[in-house]
Amino acid sequence: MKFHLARPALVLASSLALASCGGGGKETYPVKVTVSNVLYEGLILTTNGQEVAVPVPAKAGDPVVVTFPNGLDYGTYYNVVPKGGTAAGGGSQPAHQNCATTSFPREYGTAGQTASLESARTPAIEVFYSCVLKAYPLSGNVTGLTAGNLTLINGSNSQVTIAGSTTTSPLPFSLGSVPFGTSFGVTVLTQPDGFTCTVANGTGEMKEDQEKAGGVTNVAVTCSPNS
Amino acid sequence: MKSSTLYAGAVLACALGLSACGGGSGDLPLTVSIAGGVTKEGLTLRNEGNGEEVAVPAGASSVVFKKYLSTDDEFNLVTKTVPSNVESCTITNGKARANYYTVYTTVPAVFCKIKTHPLSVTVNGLNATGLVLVNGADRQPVTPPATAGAQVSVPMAPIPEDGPYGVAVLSSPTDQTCTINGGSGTMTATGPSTAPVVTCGPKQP
Repeated sequence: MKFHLARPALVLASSLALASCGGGGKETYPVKVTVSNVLYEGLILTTNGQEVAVPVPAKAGDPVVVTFPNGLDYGTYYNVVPKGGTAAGGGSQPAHQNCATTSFPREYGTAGQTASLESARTPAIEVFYSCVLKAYPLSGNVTGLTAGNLTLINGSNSQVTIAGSTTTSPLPFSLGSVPFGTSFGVTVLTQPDGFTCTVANGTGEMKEDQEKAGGVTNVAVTCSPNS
Repeated sequence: MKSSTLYAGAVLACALGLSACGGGSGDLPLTVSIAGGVTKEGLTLRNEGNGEEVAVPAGASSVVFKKYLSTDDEFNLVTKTVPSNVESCTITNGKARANYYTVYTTVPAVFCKIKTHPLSVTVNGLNATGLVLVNGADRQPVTPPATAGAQVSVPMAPIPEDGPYGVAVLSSPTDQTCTINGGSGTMTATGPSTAPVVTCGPKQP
C-alpha cells in the first residue's frame, strides 16, 4: 500500500518541479547534508569537487545541517563522502569520532531522480550522516590464577569471566571497548574459590594519550592463594 | 518492483494456506521479536485475538505463537506478566489483522525496561576537592563536606536490577589517599549487595 502511494507522489512531485521552472532559468539541485552527534571539529564532506566543513553545533547533540556551495544540474551523479574516506567512515573525520551513513536516502544518487523527504516541495538532495565516538580496547593479563573462575567488571558497563589454568600464565582478558573521553574502573566482581585477586592499572579515562597508545592494554590482575 | 514481489508472495501464500488447510486455521505464524530487556523468565505474552499465551524464555531473540493465523484474523498482543526485574514492556506493531505484511514485514516487537535502583557511596575523612569515583563510564566528582572529614554520601547513576556495579577511585585529593571497600557487587530488588565505603586518609607514598 505504502509503495503504491509513493510512486504517484514522486511522479507528481517531478512534474510540479518541472512546472515551476516554466522552461525558464536552469533548475539546480542543492545538496543538503544533516550530520548528527558531531562533538569535535574536523569533518569535511565532499561531492562533485566541492568541500564543506561541518562545524560543531552550538548545543551539543543538535544535528548540523550543511549545504554544498553549488547546486547540481539535473542528472548529475553525486556521492557525498568524508574527504579521503567512504560512506563507512575514514578520511577527514572529527577528532575522536567516526561519521558514517548506511541508511536511506543513500549518500549517492542522481540529481533530480532521487526521492527525498523534501522532494515533494523543493528539489533538494538530502543525505544523512551520523557520528559516534571511537572506542578503544580495555584489556590486560591475569597472573597466579591456577584454578577457579574470576569475574572482572568495568563498572556496570562490561563483564568478563576468566577460568584459572595450571598450564597458561599470564591469562589474557579483554573487557568491552571504552569510548573516547569515558572513564573506566576495572574491579573484581567475584573472587575465584580459594584465591584473592587484586587489580592494578585498572582505573582511568580514555583520553588523548590512551587513544594514541591504541587503548589501555596493561591492566594487571594478580591472584594469590588464600592462606 | 519490491511491492509487486511482495504482493505476489502474499497471494501465493494465501492460496497455499487455503489449499493446505481447507479453509480452516491459517498458515501465518505470529512471531514476536524480543527487542531487549528480557534477562530472566517471567514474561508472558497473550494474543487477545484468540486467547493464546506464550512464555518468553530468558535471552530469547524471538518467540512464535503455536496457533497459526488466517488472513484477516485480528491479533492484539498484550503482556500478561513481566519478569520480576522489569518495570514495564512496550509492544510495537502488536495489533493488526493478519496478512503477509503484518506478520512478516512489520513484525510485532516487545521491549522491556529493566528496573533501576539507586547506588550511593559513603565517603569518610574527605577534606579537599579532587576525589572522583567511577562506576565504569559513570564518573562522579565528590564535593568535600563543609566540615573537613565529615561523612558524605555520593549518589552514583542508578543501576539496573540484577546488574553488576564496581565503583573505583579514579583520583584522590592532592594530599590524601582514598581507598574503597565493598565497591563491587550486584544490584538486587532490595538494593545493592554491598555497602561501598571510601576512606580517605593522609597521602600514602
